[in-house]
Amino acid sequence: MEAAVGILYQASQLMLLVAIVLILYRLSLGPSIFDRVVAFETIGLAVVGYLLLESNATVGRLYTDAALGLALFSVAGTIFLGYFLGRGEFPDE
Amino acid sequence: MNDLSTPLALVAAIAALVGSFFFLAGAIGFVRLPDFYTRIHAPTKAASLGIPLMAFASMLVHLGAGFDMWIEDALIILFVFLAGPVSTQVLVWAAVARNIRSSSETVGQSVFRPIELVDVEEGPTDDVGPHGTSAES
Repeated sequence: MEAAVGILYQASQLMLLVAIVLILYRLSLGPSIFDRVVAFETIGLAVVGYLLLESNATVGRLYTDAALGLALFSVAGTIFLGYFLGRGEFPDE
Repeated sequence: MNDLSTPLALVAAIAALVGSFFFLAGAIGFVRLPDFYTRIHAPTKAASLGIPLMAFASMLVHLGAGFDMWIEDALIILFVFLAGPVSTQVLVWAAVARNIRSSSETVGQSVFRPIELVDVEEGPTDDVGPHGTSAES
């Protein structure tokens, strides 16, 4: 069972790496700045998932702090970038 | 140390596999969809489902090994659930305020009314709305 679990984790990490490559393609291509901001956030969250899987597969508790901090900065940075790009004027008010 | 031979580790690995599959599907949608308003739909929803599944797998591993680190995984789940949709909403509001055009295949008009169209030069003002027919965004 241990080999099966290891293969599952390696498959998950491979899928996350393919996802990161696809998002990098969109990051280089993206027609507007908003696509690049979304690509930035999604790459950050993909790296969070990769850190969690790496921590599960090998050591157990090494990368979880880094994953929490990276998730926080990624999503909060996206909120600040969106507020900056909208120039503080949102159409709901 | 963490042993991978328990059934709990197998359940955690399956949850992590499902989460990364959602992430891959979101990335494929992010590459293939036509305009920004449909393109932001795919990776943000995939991330709000994929990251909590992977953090849930990590929580199972930590609980099975007797670590105290499971509360950080719970914090990751809570934060991504709370702040991920907020960032998506802020980005879509900013895109509407900057008049990012939607695809020409979009039916109907947006529910938002932009209060200021910043970077547009006197487009056709018909009754289609601010996100009317445009070839490329």
